[in-house]
Amino acid sequence: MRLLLVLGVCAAVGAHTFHYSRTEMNWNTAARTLEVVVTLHADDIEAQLRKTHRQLELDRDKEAEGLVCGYTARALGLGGARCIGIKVGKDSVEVYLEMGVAGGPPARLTNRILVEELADQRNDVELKKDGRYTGPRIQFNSSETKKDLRW
Amino acid sequence: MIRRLLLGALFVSLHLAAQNKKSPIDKFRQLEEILPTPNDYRTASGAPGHKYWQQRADYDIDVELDDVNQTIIGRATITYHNNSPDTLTYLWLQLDQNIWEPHSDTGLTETAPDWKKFPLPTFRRFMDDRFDGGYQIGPVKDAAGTELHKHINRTMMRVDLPGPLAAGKSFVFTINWDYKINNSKRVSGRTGAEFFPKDGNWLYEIAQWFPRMAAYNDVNGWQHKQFLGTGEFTLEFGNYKVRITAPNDHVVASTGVLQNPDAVLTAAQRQRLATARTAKKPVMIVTEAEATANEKNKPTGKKTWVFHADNVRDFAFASSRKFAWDAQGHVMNGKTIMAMSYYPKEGNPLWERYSTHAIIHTLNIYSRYTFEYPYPVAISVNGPVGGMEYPMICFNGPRPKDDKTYSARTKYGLISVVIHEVGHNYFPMVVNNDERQWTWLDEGLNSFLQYLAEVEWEDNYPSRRGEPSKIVEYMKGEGHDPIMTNSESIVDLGGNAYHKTETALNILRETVLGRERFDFAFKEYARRWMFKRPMPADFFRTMEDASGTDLDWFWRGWFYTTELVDISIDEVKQYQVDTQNPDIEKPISKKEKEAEPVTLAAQRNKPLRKRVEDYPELIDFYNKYEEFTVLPSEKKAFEGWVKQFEEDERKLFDPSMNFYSVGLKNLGGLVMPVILEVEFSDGTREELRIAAEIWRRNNLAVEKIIATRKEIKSIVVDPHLETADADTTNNYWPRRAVKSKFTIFKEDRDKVNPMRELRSKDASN
Repeated sequence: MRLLLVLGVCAAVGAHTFHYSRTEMNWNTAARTLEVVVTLHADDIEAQLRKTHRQLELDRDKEAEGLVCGYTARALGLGGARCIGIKVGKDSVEVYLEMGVAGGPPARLTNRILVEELADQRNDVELKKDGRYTGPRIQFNSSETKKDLRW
Repeated sequence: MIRRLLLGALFVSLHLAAQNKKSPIDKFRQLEEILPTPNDYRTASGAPGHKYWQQRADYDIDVELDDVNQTIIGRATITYHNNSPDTLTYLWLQLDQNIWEPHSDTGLTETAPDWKKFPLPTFRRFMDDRFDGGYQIGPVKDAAGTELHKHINRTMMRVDLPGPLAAGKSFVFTINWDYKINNSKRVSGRTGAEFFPKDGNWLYEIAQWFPRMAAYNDVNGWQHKQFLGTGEFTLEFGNYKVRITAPNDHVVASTGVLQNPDAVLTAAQRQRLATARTAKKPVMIVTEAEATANEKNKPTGKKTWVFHADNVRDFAFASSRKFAWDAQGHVMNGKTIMAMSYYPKEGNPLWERYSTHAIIHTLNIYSRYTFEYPYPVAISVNGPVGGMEYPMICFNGPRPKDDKTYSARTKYGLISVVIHEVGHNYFPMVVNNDERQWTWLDEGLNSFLQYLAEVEWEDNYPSRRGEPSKIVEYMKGEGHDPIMTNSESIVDLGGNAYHKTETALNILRETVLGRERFDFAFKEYARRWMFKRPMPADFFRTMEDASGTDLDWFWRGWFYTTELVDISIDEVKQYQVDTQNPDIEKPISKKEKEAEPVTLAAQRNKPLRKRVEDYPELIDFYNKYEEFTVLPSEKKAFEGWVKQFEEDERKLFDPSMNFYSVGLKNLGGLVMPVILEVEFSDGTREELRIAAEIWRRNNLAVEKIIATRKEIKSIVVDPHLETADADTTNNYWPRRAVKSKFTIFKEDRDKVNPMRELRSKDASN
């Protein structure tokens, strides 16, 4: 196996050392839509997108919304999702996606958010049906990127 | 449905006694089983005991900054005062730079990175060009020049004394060293050098740069737990005399007060400093234009800057020819404190606008909640370190982009980090807690005060922490640690030691104790432990002692567990008093019966022709008897029953009084106060704030009685989102649809953008 070297520095003092995302997926029965809110560390997603957009700043660049939504939707395997928008906080960014699904909520989910970039990335997913939790959170990581969903 | 309450003289006490303790764990049991036993050094009230002692170390140091080779060369004379009751035969010193020694534990204990994409700095550590920044320690000698035996154990060094050092005695020894300064672009940390390729200059932020005395105390003996990179420092107070030799075109910022301004500053700079001392806003001592001109210099020699600092636990400095420098004197209780900022031109326009203001703001707010700032100087420096604190000086990283513009994140990031790092002067620089063991005891308390300072900077300041709802995601996460976890072992240091501690203190202040009691107790803790070394138990005990509140349940839940807050309101039952008076009760029963729903079969059977209609002779007394008629015997029975009560007791039989039983469940595990907002059918509202002790007999489920003449329409748990409740969908009775975060965001997005609309209109006119 060949090692791919990437530029980077050790975590700066005060930087978070825990790589984590949280996704809340709500199945809206009446609208038959999947409503998705993904919360990410702003630094992580910014670093990811700067590989192709070097000077990108989430809260200043207009193109950031489309890039973040696009990356997140692809990482979740929700290619047809509509980008409602992103909300950039001081440390975190929330990504809002919506997708109509005629046949009901998906039975299986892929979650590859930052797992190829960060070895210790953990991605939690919580499912809701019409606003009520349907079960415990589901954990994804670099070795478990696909799981069945129970609604 | 309204249930009827039957009153009886003995019922109440019997029912209470019969309640079972259903929870297997008593969340209110006292902390004595965990906390250390109080003694003469640390009292049960959390104060220093009458025999409290701490060691002291005074330093006299000559240090040279080699700008050509990025090297530190130093020589120190250390006077160690043994104030302990113990006789010592050896001393331990900290060699923190040794985390950059090639075979350090920091490197050896590093776990595997992502094999698919290997970070270059990590890769370097396995290759020949690895950075060797460990100490080169020369001979250690006593005052007579006799060499002492030393033993280096990774980041710690033992110096064997020539004879026992008795209690109350001092020992003087000298030590020489040098080390290579880390290039922060390759190896980042709390100290380092930054190279600016456009102008070819270096900027240095120098810390942990000399062998520092390890702490010896009544709790741990020598604190010589190895430094792995996370658990910061545990140090002794002392007086410092430091002579810093640097290229003669450098500007040096340092802990302490400059002793030789005539030798190192120009006349103009000295004049500007004098002006700044009484100025109402920051005055430039070295302007950006002057600093930019300095970048083109070549040094013609060296200068030695002399600084003295009294009663500090550490010493740091920064040096560069790139520094612009502004200053403003800030008067607090008649004493002038020089607030100063040093930054390269790359830091502007942010730094000249915000840094010194943020320093002064911090001093004002923190001093109000703790004690008066005790030092003559407070400095913020921009350089390669993201954010790190030392006595009187701190290093802060945020800068604008190359085009001099900056985002809101960068602006508020700078203000917040300056507040935070200057704030560390209070914790742990003066209240000298053991950071190697407990990060939260200064980072958490400091983050809490940082939030209080931020809310007084401007309305709606975008604080990253503070509001309880912001900690919910962390607390819902699995695999995180209790706050009472050693600094080096915590997985998410920011979420744990900073954020959770800070939120816990906010909740303690706003919800559990109230501002007045909390602020008094917190200030008492800070005051008691100024220039002393507190431990967690001292904090817990002082907060209880000074507030007059048993908080063991709070420390136990928030600091020793990873449980979360989730209180659910499940069922509300309504009761009214059964007066036993048939004249009152029977009409009520009749009304209730009439209110009962008519079954479907009964509705369909109603029109059917009945036999008694065809044969009236079948109708007798019971067909005509009114079920709810009051019988004489019932009246007589009531008269007999009521005689057992005194006249004043009879007045309590108020049939209009409602008793609501509110069923609450603790789903999250943490016991917390219960805040209920009750809305009545007449539109009025009332708030009930119930202490956490409601859970003391059963921490899984309780019923709360609300007695009112009004009818309750709805109840909301935690209406002001002040408890970090993890699931607010179960906070409503009757249950109501809670708008999801998604819906709120989407609706906001769909709203008209007034700015856009008005601008379009302007454009069209």
